[in-house]
Amino acid sequence: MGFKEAVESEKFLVTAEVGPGKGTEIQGLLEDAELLKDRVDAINVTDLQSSVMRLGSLAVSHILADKGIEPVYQLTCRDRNRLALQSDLLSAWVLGIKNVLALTGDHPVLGDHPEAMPVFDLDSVSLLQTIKTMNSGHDLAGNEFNGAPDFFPGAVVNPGADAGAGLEMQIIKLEKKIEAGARFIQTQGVFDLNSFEKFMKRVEGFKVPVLGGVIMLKSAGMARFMNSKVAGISVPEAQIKAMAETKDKVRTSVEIASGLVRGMKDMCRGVHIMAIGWEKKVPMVLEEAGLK
Amino acid sequence: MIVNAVPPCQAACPIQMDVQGYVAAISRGDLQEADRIIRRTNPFPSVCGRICTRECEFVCRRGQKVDEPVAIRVLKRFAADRAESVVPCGPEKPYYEERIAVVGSGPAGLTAAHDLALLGYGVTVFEAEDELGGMMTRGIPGYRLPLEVVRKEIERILSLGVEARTSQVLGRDFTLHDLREEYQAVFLAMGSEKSFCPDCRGVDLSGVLTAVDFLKDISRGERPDPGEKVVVIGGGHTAIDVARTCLRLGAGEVSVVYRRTIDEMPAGMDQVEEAQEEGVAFRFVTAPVEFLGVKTVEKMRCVKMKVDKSCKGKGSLVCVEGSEFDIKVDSIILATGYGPRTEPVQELFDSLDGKVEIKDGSGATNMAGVFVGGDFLSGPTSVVQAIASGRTGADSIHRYLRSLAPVDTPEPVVLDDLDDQVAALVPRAQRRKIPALPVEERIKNFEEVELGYTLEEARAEAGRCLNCSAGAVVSYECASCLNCVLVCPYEVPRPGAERAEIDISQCQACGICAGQCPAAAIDLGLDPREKHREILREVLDRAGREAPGAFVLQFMCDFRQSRVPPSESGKAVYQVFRPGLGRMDVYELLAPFQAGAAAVQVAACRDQDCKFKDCAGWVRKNVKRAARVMDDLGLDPGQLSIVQE
Amino acid sequence: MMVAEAKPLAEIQGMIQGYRKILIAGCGTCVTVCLSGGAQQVEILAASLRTAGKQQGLAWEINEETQLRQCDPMFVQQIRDRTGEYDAVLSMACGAGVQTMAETLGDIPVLPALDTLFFGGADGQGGFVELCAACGQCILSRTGGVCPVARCAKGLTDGPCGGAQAGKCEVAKDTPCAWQLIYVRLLRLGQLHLLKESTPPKARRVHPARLVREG
Repeated sequence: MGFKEAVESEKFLVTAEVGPGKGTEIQGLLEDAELLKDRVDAINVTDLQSSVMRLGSLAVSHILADKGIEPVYQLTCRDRNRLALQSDLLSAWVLGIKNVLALTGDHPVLGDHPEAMPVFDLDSVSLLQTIKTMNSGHDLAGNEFNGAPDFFPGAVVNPGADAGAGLEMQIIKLEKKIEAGARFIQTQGVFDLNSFEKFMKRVEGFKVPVLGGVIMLKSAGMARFMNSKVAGISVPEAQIKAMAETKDKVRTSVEIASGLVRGMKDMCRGVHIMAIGWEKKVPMVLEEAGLK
Repeated sequence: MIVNAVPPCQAACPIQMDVQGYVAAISRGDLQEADRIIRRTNPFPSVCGRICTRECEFVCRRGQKVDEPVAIRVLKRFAADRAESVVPCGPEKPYYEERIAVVGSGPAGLTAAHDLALLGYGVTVFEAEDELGGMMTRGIPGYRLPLEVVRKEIERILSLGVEARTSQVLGRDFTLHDLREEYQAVFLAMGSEKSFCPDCRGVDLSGVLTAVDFLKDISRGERPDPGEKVVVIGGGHTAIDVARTCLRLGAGEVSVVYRRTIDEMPAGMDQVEEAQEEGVAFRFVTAPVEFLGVKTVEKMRCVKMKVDKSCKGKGSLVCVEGSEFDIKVDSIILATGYGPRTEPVQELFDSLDGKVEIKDGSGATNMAGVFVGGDFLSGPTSVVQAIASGRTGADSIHRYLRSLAPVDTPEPVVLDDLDDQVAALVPRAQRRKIPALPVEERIKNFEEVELGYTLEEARAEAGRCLNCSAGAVVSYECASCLNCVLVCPYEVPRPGAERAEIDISQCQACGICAGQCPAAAIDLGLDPREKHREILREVLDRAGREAPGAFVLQFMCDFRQSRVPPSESGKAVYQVFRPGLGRMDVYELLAPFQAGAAAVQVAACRDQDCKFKDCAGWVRKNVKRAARVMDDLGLDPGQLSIVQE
Repeated sequence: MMVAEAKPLAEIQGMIQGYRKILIAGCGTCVTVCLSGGAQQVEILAASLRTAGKQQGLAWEINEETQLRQCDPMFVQQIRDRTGEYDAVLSMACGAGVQTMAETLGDIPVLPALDTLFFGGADGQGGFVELCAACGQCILSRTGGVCPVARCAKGLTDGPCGGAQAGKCEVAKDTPCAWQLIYVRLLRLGQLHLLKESTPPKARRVHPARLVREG
C-alpha cells in the first residue's frame, strides 16, 4: 500500500524522517531507511534542514523510491524561485517521487551559509497551489504540460505556536494550505498531549489527516536548547528532568516518545517521528507504543 | 511663537538693561565684559548694584516658576565692584558747539550729563549742595550706599569733561533765564525733595524733623542724638533708611509708623526685613493725629486706620473711630512724601494746567530748549528710574539740537511665561545667600551692611540664570529630522509645518539639540556656532604651534567652577570654555586630535551638579561615540576622557 | 526615506588611499535625517580622515560640502565647477546620490562613504526601521497597514512561518514578527477575515525601474 492509499484508508499512519548529510556518503542513511522500510508508511527526506547546506532531498528521495521505500519529498521555497520549484517538481515526478511536503523553509541566516540570498519567491501556500496547478497539467504561467504529474501534496503546521495571534494565524494558514491542496498534515514536534488535544479540536473540521510530530529527545541539553531556540516546542520540565537523571538515555527517550505516540493514537490520524540521528531507535518506539 | 522677544528682566528694567548678557558674562568669569555690558546703559552700576529696586528680579522667570529669582542686583554690584572698568573715553574737546546746562546732579542729571558728553556736547552741571550726587550722596545712608562708591562713579562722569558747579542754587545764584542766555539747552533735574508734612498739630515742635533734612545732615558726617524713643512716619525706603540710621545713632526704641499694611509698603521687603533684624519695630495701619509737647515733642497721638475696599485701587483709608492712642517719643522724623520744588521755574508750570511736559516721555517743556527729568518730573522714584529719565533727557536734547525727528521705539515684545511642564524639568538650584555683616556689629556703625559675593559665589549665582531667549534657533537648513524633538531634556522642540520649531520662550539654552543636529542647523544665542568654532580653531592653532603633538585640550564649562585635576603628564594644557558641555558635538572632540593633541579632556559635571538636565549624560554619549571613531582610526580611545575633580 | 549608515573608516581610508585632494560631499535630505550623511557627519568624517592621514603621513587635503539633495543632477551641478580641482569625491549620500553625483560630475571618481540599507521611517531617537521594500504592488490595504514584504524576514504574504517566539521574529530576536503586528492591527480594525484571503505570488519587479510621468 502506497502512502497515498494509506492516508486514504482508515489505518493509523506512521512516518519517519531521514536527513541527508553534508557530502556524498549516503550508506548510513540508506541503512536507516531499510530498517524503517516495513515499519512506516513513508519516510520524509528533509530539504537542507535548518538551512544547512547538504545533499539534496530530490536525489535521496529518488534513491529511496528506487529501493521501494516510499519517500515524502520535502521541498522548501528558500532556495528556488518558481522556475526552479516547478522544474524540480517535474524532475521529481519522472524520478518516481509522488509525495511532496511543501514548506516555506527556514531563513538562510539560521544556517551555515547566512550570507546566502533568501529566495522565497513563493511560500508554502503558493507552492501547494503550484503543485495543484501542475497536477492539472499546467505550469504557473498557464502553459500546458506535455505529460503531467500527479503529486500527493502535504503540508505542515506548528501546533505549539505562540498562544493567541500566533496559533490563530497557524490555524488560518493551515486552512489556506488545505484549500491550496494539502492532503495530509505533519506537525512540528509535540511534547504536551493536553495542548495538542486542544489543537486537534480546533482543526477537527478540516477533514485532512494530521500526523502528530514526535521528536526523540537525546539529552536534557537538547530539550533545553529546543525550548529556547525552536519556536513552538516546549518540552515539559518533567521530561527534561527524566532525561537528565536517567542512566540510560536511549531507554528514557524511547519511553517518552512511545508515551507520546500512544497518546496520539486517539487524537489524530498518525504520527511523524523525527529521530534526528536515532532513526535506528524508531522501531523500539513503535513497539513500546504498541504499533505492530 | 515669538522669535524676537526680550526676557522679562530686561523688559522690566527702566533702562532695558541687558541683564542676561552681563549675568552670562559673570557666569564665565568675564567681569570686564559684564561691566562693559552694564555700562552701556547705566553710568551708576555700583550704585544700582546696591540700592536698585530691581524690577528685574520680581519678574525673573526662574523666580516665577522654578525656585527663586537670580540675585541680579548683587551680581551687578559684583561686576561693577570687581571689574577693572575702562574709563569711558569721550571726545577730547566737545564736538558740537552747543553747550548744555544740567541743573541738579542726582542720577538723572548726571546720567544726562554723561550721555550728552559722550555724544560730544560741552556740559555744565549745577548743584545746590556742596557735593554732587543728589540723593545718592545726600539721601541714602552709608551703610547702604557708601559715599566713596558714588564718588567713584561721579569721577568717571567728570572725567568725560563735564564741568561741575556746586553750591549753586537755582533762583538764588542764577535763574533759568540766565541759563537760557548762556546755554543752548537746559536739563532740569532738581529732584523731588520738598517734604510733604502731615496736616496735624504740633508739626512745628522741636524734635519733629523731615527725613530729607535728617539724612542730609547724616551724609555730611553729622551725628545728631535722636533721643531714646524715635518714631519714623512713612512707608517708603526713606522711612526705613531713617529708622535704621537712628538705631546707629544710639536710639533705643525705633518704630516705623505706616498708615497702610505691610504689603502696601513702597519700601522693598528686603529693606523691611533687614530693619526688623536690626530691631526696628513697625506699626502698620496707624496714622498720626497730633504731635504733643511743650516746645519739644513728647508724645504722638495716633489713630488706627482701615481700608475702605469699596473704593478703587488700593482703597481709601478711613480712621477707626475711638482707636486713638498715644506714643511717648523723643523725636519724630517725617518721611511722608516729597514733591519737586517748582518755585524757581514756576513759569514752566503756568501753562498746560500745571503739567510741565508738553509731550509725554520727552521731557520737553513749553519753553524751547528747556527739558525736565528725573524725580523733578515724576515725583520720587528710584535711582534706576532717574537714570532712565536722564537718558531720555539727553536723547531729547540731542534730537532737539540736531533737529532729529523723534524715533518711536516700539514696545519690546516680552517673552511668554515659562510653561509649567518645562519649569518642572529645570534642575533646582537655591539662590546664593547674600553675605552681610552680623546684626550686632552693623548697628554700631555706618559700615556697609551687605558684603557682596565672592567670585565663586557670583559665578554660581550667575549660573542660575535660565538664559531666557538665548537658546536654540533653527535655521532654514533644518532637514526636519526631529532629532531635536527627541533629545531635548525639556521637551521644547516640536515638529512644525515646515521644519522643527523651538519655542525661544521655553528653550533652556542647554544646546544639546545643537550638538545632536545632523544638519548643523541649530544655532545658540548663548554661543553662536561660528564663534565657538572659531575659538576652537584659534586655540588649536596656538596649541599646535606652541606644543605640537604634545598638548592636552580641556573642554571646560562656563557654569562650573570646579577645576580639573592638574595634568600629570607635564604636557601643556589648553582650555576651551563653553556654556554647558552637553552642546558639544562629536566633531569638537575629534578636531583636537586632527591638530595633534596628545589628549582631550572634558571637564563635565556630575549629573546632580549640572545646571542643565541630562547634560552630563549627553557628554558621556558624545565621548563614547568619539572614542569609537578613534578606535576605528587606530588611535587609543583612552586619549579622550571625562575628567572630574 | 533612504536609510544608510557609515562604512567602516578603514574601508573608506582604503578607497581614498590613492587620492590626494578629496571633497567630502554630504546630502541634506534622507541621510541627514537618519544621522548618517548630513553636514554634521561630513564634519566628523573630515576630521577623522584628516587625523588618520596625519597618523599615516598621507598628505590628504580634505574639504567639505553638503548638497541639499544629491540624487538630483540639478543640485549636483551647483558644485560641478568647484569639483574640477579634486582627485575624488567621497559622497555621504545613499547609493542614488552617489550615482547621480558620479554621472553629473563626469570624470572624477565618486566614492560611497555610506552603505545604503533600506527605505524606512524613524523609530525613536537614533532609531530607524525598514518599512517598505518597493515591491511595486502594494498590499497594505489587506495587511492592516503593516507590510509583510518589507517587515517579515521571508517576505511572506500568506501568513507567518510559525517561527516567531514571544511575538519576535526567529531571524532577529529584537524584531517583532510582522504577522503578529498585522494580526493585532486587523483585530483592532475588525478585519481579521482578510487573513483568510490568499495572496497570489507577486510578479517580481524588473530592475532597473524607471518612472516617466506622461506629459
